[in-house]
Amino acid sequence: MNRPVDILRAQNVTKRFGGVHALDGVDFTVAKGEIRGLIGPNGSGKTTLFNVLTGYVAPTSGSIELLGRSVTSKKPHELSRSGIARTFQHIELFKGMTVLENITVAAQCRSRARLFGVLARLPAVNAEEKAFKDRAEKELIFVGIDTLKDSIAQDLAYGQQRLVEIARALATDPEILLLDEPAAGMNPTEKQTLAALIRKIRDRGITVILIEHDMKMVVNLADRITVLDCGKKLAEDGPREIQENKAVIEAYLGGNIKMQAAESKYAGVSAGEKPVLSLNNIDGCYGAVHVLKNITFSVARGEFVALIGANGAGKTTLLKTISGMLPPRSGSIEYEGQRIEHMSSDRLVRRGLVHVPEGRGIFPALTVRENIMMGAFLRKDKAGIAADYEHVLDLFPRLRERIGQQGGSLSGGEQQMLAIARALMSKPKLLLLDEPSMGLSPKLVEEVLEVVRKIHEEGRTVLLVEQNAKAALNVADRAFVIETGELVLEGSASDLLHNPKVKNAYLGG
Amino acid sequence: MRTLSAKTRNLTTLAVILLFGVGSQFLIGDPYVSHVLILGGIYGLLAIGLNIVTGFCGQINLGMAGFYAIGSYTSAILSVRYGFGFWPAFLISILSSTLVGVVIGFPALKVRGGVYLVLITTSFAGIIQTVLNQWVGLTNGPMGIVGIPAPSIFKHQISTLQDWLVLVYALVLIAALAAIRIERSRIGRSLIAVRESETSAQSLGINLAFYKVLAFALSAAFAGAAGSLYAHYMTTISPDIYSFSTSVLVLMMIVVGGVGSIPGSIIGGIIVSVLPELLRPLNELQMIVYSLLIVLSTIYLRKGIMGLGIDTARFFRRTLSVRRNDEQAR
Repeated sequence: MNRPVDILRAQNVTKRFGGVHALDGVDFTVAKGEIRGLIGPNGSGKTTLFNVLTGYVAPTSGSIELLGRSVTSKKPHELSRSGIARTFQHIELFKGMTVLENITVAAQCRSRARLFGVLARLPAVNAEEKAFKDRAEKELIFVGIDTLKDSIAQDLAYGQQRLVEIARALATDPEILLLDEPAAGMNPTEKQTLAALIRKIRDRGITVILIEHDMKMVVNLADRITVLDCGKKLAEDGPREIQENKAVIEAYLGGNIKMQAAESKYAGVSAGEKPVLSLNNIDGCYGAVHVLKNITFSVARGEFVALIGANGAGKTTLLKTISGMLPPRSGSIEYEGQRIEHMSSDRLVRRGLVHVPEGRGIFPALTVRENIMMGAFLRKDKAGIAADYEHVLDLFPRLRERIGQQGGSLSGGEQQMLAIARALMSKPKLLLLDEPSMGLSPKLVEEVLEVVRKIHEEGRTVLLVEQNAKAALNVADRAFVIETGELVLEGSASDLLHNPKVKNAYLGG
Repeated sequence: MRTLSAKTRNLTTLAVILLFGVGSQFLIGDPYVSHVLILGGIYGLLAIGLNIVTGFCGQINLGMAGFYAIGSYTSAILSVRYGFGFWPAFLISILSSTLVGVVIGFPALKVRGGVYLVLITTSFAGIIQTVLNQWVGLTNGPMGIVGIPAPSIFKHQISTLQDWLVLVYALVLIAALAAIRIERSRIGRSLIAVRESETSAQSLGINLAFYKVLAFALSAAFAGAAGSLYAHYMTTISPDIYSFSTSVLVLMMIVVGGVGSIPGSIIGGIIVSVLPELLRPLNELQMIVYSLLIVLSTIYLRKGIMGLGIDTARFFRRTLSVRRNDEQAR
């Protein structure tokens, strides 16, 4: 049997950002003509791998070969000319240009510009110009958006913008096309069209590498799937095998953290008491994408609630909506009996509703002490601040050891602790935590969540958003599962821990 | 469809500007009006240059006075000291300014973010002005250079204001056409791509370094031409003309005229020089009203005067087509 030719061979690729290993010795080989799925939880290094392969990020070590030639640490424009094209997770169109112009820019990438020819308007330049336009129109027809060619790119709907990006990448005449979450924000019909398009691209002889969180789509499309977790290659196999792979399921749902399954300390909302937080029919949008649909739930005083769901399900948007960073499109939010859906974040912080954002958002140039004290920015009581400061350091002894270091020099887990410590300084009554486990090793996840539970036991209400379902269900009282912007399951944490439907919500059943 | 209308739009605007610029002398006949319009045309050249680097490529440049000065002094020194004719001096001015543009383009590559670019370009212009003041042996210091000869074309001495109007606006026309050709070519598309998204421009094979340096060099070329013309027209130049406020004035021209629009640049150049004169009857209020108008135009005409024209046209077209669609729907 003929072994297929390897078109792309990345060996032992490592990328460190500060102390964090975004990629750790990854070997990644793709055969010509295949569709390769690249999946993994948030922060597992998928986009970093794309950035290394396309020259946006230089690897700390390791080598990359394209069609047998070494392309390690070449610049993005050189790699583009040698046959790698890509799209971006956050759409990067030339917004003010028409669709046709967007793609024409790509069509001209293989030939050189001549200033004199342009100024003199030489016939050769005119002919070239026509060839670019023809090429661009051909790609528009191929992708199926030729009727939009004269629209301004930023006026298009989200799904259409994604297609323009694909057409633009195709116009560079690539050997390999890297698609970074092309289906994000698309509706089911658009996703079907996209899947058909990706097959058509492969039929043209172009190798496709696909990062995608819609597991159904990846499983249906990919010939093989590579799974990354914490910067390492966790598995590489056919789609069916990946779906059954124990290690993969654990990576998605979170490892078996050794904590006693939380017995529900939560006794239900007592009849007279009003919930601390309640959401009513919240609809929300992120840019043009409708990400929250009719969300209704409430959190009682002193409760520890987890909100779990796969990447892109709308968890972060929901937290941002609660903490006043994104206004909801419709619906109402009550906090301590008051409507807050149009209140600004700083006013909510004064009332004790504090949000620890995803990705931590610490101040890298300030010391650990300064970072923590930033959390007391709105407070005036010196004695109280000093007491809380000591208390916070008791909760996180690791931070005490590093009190004089710059925030940016901490490891990912320590930065997460710092972010939580800072939030505690503003005396929260309701603490919103967005993916504290992101990018952390299982050991650290355990450590961080242990502290979160302590914080909760001190009497604070906690709303925890997590992708790592098992870890979250182990510490919370009650949980909701969110899937594509809708709450699909609700129950006590211990029940959900054994509910097979949770796995379906993640791995597309 | 759209490309055609953009083309005709550009050409019509250019034609109107030229008719207005050259025709005014013959219609109004006031020498002062002509003088202001000639300066307006020279400013227009500067603004076209800035539009290439800032309007197309998105790289802020507050050092246009520096390139303008290099054009003026090259031309002045060559023709006064070494007896060069106008055309050779003019071309060498463009070349020397372009070369300096390349040199400035390189440090500009190293910085990310407009703030640093503002610092680099303003310091560059500041250095040039200091050199003009201090290097007395070459530039005659603060006294400036006097007696710069008038050009002659085909043995015809350019001496009257009419001659100057024709010469300046002919060069403005050539410059505008060249800039529009660049804009509508693959080079222009690449420059605009760099402005719109550096991230994806790279992924499409665009060498950011090359196009940023090219943008600085091209803009310097136009500034060099403007500087040379200015020196020969005024016959006297001195360092104080090439100050920071001149650079800001050029930025104001493209903002008023419409960032990214070549005809807009020329209109901006003319307005910035004509408007203070129109407001002269207001006496002490003149500069206040002038500044106020400029501020208002930056707030309300975000795409400049060209943008206002285009938006108005689009508004009418859209209302008409909506009505047509409604009728079809019925």
